[in-house]
Amino acid sequence: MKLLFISRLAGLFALLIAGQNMAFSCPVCFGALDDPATNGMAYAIITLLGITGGVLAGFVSFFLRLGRGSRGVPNERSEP
Amino acid sequence: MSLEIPYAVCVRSDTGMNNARLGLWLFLASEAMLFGGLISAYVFLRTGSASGEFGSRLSEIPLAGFNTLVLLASSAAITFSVWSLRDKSFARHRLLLGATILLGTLFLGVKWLDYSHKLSHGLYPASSTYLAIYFTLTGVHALHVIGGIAVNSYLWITARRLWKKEPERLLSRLAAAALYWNFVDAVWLVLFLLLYVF
Repeated sequence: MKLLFISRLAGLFALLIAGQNMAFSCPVCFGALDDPATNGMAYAIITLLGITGGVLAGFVSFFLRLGRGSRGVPNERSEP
Repeated sequence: MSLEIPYAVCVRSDTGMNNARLGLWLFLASEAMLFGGLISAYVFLRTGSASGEFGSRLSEIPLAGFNTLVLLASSAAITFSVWSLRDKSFARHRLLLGATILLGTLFLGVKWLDYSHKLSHGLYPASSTYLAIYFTLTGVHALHVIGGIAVNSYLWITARRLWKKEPERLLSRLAAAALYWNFVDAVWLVLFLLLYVF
């Protein structure tokens, strides 16, 4: 039973290898540093990080402002 | 029985703004992420492109520049409209908000001319990578302009009744609409610089 399973698995691998066409990775996946696509991806990530960072900085400054503002507000739910 | 939403008009002491304005800021944060993703895609396509179709388009700057001036004028008009309402000058507010709506419509009209000129020359979104991202960016922005015009028109139509009943609520709504409109204007300035100038 075990032998049958191993032989079937080996047959499947053989089929996969024999039936495989030539495959090329794109420059980004391959890591070609000089390729325009790699540069484009890098600049796009920097742009998105900058925009996300700006939005997150806005949230952080809002919560800091909220913390400062809430100090002077009496807690309405406090027990008498 | 009506549900009264707290701090819809009056300012909360902890946030320093009313809930309508806070909600709008949150909405604008999500909008910034939407345009951020699209601009990031533009940067990727432009930097990765070897065809040279991206870059400054000097021949298109006059029309796009005119549209930029139109949108800047509409931003100024809606800001003055808010100030007029604060000064209790309802007639001036109405005039300036009407001008904002007309200028926004003019912006869309010029954009329509630009689109029809491109399409009549066989330049479709599927024609090239540049045109695909160009139509996507300007199209999404135009949808936001349409949304802004719809909101401003609603405020213009209903303003008189609300001004008599609840002037503070009208001012709150108009201030929120002005914030959105100025955001849409700021996005266009970024698009203008990216698509036409640099």
